Amino acid sequence: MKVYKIKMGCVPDSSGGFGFILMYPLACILAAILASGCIYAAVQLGVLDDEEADDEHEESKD
Amino acid sequence: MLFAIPMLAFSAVSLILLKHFSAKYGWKAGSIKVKRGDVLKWAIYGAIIPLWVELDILFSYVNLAMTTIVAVIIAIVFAFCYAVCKNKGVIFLPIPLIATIVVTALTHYIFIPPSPKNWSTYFYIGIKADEILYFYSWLAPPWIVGMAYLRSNLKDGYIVLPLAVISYFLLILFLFPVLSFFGYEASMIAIYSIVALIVLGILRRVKE
Repeated sequence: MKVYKIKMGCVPDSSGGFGFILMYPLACILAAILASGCIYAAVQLGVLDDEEADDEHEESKD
Repeated sequence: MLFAIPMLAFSAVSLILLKHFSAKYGWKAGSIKVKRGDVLKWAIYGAIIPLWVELDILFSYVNLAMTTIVAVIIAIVFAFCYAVCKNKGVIFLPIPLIATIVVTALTHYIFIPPSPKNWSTYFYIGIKADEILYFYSWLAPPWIVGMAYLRSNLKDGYIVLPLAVISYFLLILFLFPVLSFFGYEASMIAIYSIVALIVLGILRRVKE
């Protein structure tokens, strides 16, 4: 196993990104939960309603 | 768990600002008509978000404080741009789309491989430049499906996005270690075909 010295410490090459990979699914799940929570809050605030309404006015008259 | 700080900062600041703008400009939550364009737009957002998640995790390992500051600045710019676009009736989607492409290209350029003599800098957070895009190709499918579903079932679809991400990660965590390179390519083709089929199915169900 090769070990490269860097300013943050030593990161092994062969298992490169082990900490990153361990945390990665967790971070993405957290981001998904945060994103759905943000979208829910944004809908409650009326933020997500009626975007691009001007483009579709002619069609929605029918 | 420190990597979560920039994400939480972004969510908090953007939501506080959007709440402020919502009260200031009188945005009201009314009936929401789902159109096919909306579903496609949210699928594109679903393809954009994982790149930011990835860059966020990546840079939070490099410098947590700077990443948090940048996340707060991006949240402020995001909320202001969204408010301006919503009030002027301008389409918002191109702004995050172009910003994502530019930032990803810049990141890829910054993390471009140095000469083999200096590979110690290449691995300094344990990820290579092209691995950013590999990770993205693993990560994007549940976000695309989840966001498209969320748009088509806005009132009760909030649980689907985390569930899609969790179940997909369980799938690939068990699947990918046993795959060869060809198996990886074949599974990617299969996964993205399923993603396209699900999004097309949602589009087909959405009227108008």
